[in-house]
Amino acid sequence: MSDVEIETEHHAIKRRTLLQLGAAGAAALAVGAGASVVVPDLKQKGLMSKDGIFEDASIALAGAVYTEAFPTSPLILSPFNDLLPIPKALAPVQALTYKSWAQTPGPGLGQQNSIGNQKHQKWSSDVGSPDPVVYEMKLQVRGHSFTSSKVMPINSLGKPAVSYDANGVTYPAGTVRTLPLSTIYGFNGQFPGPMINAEYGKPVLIRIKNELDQNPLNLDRQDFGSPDWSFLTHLHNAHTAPESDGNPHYSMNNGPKTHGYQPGQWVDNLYLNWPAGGDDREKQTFFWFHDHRMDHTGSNVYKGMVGLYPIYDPKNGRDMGDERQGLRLPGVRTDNPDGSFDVAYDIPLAFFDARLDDGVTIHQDIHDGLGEFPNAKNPKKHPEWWGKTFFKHFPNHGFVGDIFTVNGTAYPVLNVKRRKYRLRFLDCSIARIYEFKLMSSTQGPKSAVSLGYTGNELQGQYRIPDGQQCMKFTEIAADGGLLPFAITRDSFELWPAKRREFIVDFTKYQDGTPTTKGDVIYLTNIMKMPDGRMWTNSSRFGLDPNYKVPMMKIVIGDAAPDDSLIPTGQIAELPPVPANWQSMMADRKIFELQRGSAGGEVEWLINGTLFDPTKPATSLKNPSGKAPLAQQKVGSFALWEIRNGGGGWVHPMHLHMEEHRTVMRNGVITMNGGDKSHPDDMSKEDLVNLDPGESVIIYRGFRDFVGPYVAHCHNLAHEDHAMMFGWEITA
Amino acid sequence: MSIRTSRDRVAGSLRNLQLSWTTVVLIAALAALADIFVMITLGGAVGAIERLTPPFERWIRDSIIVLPLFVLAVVGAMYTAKKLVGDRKGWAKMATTLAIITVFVTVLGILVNAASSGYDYYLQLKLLQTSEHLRHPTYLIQNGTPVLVSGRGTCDLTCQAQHATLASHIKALGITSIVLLISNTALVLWAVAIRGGRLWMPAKQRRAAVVGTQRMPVLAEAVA
Repeated sequence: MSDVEIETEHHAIKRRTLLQLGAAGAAALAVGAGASVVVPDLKQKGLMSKDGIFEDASIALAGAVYTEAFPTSPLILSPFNDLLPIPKALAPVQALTYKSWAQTPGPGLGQQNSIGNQKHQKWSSDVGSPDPVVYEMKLQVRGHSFTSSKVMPINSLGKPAVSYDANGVTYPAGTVRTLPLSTIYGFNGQFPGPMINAEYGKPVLIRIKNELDQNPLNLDRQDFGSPDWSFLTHLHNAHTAPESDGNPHYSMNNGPKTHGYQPGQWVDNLYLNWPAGGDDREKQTFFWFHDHRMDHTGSNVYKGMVGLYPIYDPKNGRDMGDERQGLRLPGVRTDNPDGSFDVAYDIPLAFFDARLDDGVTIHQDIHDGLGEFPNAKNPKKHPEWWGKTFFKHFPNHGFVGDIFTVNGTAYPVLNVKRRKYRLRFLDCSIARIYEFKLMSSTQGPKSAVSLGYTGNELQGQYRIPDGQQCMKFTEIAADGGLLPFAITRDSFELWPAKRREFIVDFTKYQDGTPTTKGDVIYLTNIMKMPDGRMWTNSSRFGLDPNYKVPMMKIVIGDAAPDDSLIPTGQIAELPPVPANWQSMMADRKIFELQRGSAGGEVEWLINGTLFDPTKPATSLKNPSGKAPLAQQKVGSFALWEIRNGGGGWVHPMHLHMEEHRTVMRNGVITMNGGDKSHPDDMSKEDLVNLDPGESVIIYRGFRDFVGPYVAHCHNLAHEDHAMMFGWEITA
Repeated sequence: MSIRTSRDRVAGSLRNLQLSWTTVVLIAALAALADIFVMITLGGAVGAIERLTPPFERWIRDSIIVLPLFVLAVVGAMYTAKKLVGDRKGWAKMATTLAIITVFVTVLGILVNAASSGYDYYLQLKLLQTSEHLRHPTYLIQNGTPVLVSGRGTCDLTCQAQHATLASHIKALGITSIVLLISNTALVLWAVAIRGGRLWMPAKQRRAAVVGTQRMPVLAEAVA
């Protein structure tokens, strides 16, 4: 070998070694850097598993495939000035009046709806109750104001933006404006709709009339809300016969035999206010009613079809709205001459996030191709809708708003007395999940814009950067009614359709210091959820300490008499789960919620299929090797398993008609509590909250009525795109 | 007799290519793993529900299945490169070869992804066509009266869903093709770098191969 060759070889070795070292170093660096970014990200999303990185990558790709643009709502310039609307109980219709109706309510054939083809499966006398108290509600087209404040139109960078009005006028950037009224379809034309204070043992019948064909104010109906103006009202989650349940598995085959009741039609929904099986342990405390029209539940709810229905239990004065009796929960009852009653210091709080049109975001939706809203001529910008509610019926990532409202008002003020209150929380949003904390702030709210935030960080519009927790909540009830024991909580999550009730003692802070008149507390949302998929930050998954969005200002006033107590012992007895429940495991019915992944209507599936309103669904194969139909005999009890099929989504799965007990979550028995992420799994519920990849086994009954019902995801964008299945109770 | 001749001819061609088989297999394995990862990601984003099996196991299984294809692609790329640049030496040959390898494995990756996506679309069409949900009547109000509609023009609800599904596949394929090009470029460069720039057989083995004594290049290389 010559000297030249040796030298070349020598250089070659050096070069190769250098390359190898460089490649190894680069790989180590890439793996290290990648791990430091990816691992916390996966942990935060609950995807830390060998499959999680695939799901995370799919999520990112899906995000890139379905490009969606949402408007940035104008900035509300003077928040926390409008008073929180506290609903008064709706007055019933007097007997003399409804007996004079051309078609009177009653148990006979043809008396259940205006079509004349149905009867009530059970009348009030069938459960030993008096005739129902009759209410009347009309679905009406009206306008709604979310705030009386002036607003500043802004873009996603938080900069002042051009705005428009319905007359075609353009206003230059920086012009302070007043919001136009948003068009709603509301029960009695209001949002939220009326509140009925109900009582166990006193059935309620609501005649709901469709007047959506009438538009006396000549309001622009925009491009959402059921296109045929039909409705289907569901009292969530009353123990109700199918004809009064307002579910599409019923309505597509019975009664209206279509999506819902058309303009000019009415239906009498009979709510027996009678616990399942006549068992006092099945009593609940807080319902709400909302639209359930197939394919347009979300748009109808977003358009205003929401109402409140607290239910009290007068038996032995247990929970009758009188804090001097029974459980002595906060509430001072006033019986009104019209037969209704109001309860002071007992306040329902309905949370709803809205997004207002900026006039420059293109309205584009799969439903544009169906010709459902021909007048909108989408895809198209709608400057004439500036400042009105914006909705996308088919959002890939779900739909969240950037303005947070309580009882229909953005950033309201609640003036309270120095005493205990019962607060009934309801999330009536399309997809947003909240996590609430009670906070104090020395500096008060600052606009997210003024703090330099842009894009999704503008959601909620305001922050309290110096906010500190100052009070705790005492949880006394969930969607299934009173808890067996009160739970003290620093914060709590509220998923769509969930109800949770709390006692808050406004006489003192959590450290025992007494409050004083004029003190201010903020009900604050600390869960960041930029789209309808799931949160990015919350107490359970990587809290963002800077995300503290005040939603309601609470101002402490004068002291007031208080005879209520915070329960320290047992509040309620739960209906038992049989000791041998595990012997039922092999025969459980299994339903998996899945991301269908296709475009269009088949985005969401259960057990690989879309909702079929004509028949009950089929379970996945259970450990017994069977795949039974979703049918139960009346009077039976069963275990059902609900799985989150992945994809990095969360699902609030709702099962109609009876409450359930969560017996297992992710293979661990939780019915006696102990799951820190879901502390009220120990109670009765009608919603199964499914974190990514979770599996829950529930035990529930199927009593008293027969016929078709549904179960569905209560992320309403999922429900409207077929994440629903029919099930039946058979005779 | 003719089979033996063909086999000999292929073996001879491979010998003449004077490949570094370790590098070939390394590039092919990395590209297979990366491209199948992208394929599974694609399926997770827009694919059919029936195929959403546990992704990790599927990734390993499918990567092994397609590995021979990627080996062929790399060999084909090097054969093409040798034809194009001959026995020239230096960075030009290296760069050309790397570029061609990247193009070959990326094209193969795109084809694999497209085939997978096409099968997903076929399954999704079947689901759409059997879905009762899409057959329910749709109404809108015309002149104050509910009127039955079933889509715009001749395209009903099922047809609309088909279009939307196809559009999502095409867009996703476009995005993943760019991802494949970038990831394969990086992996090819890295694989060659970790092999010390060795794409071809070392000089000693080349000489041995030329005289026809080297019949097991991979083994010989490994021993060397």
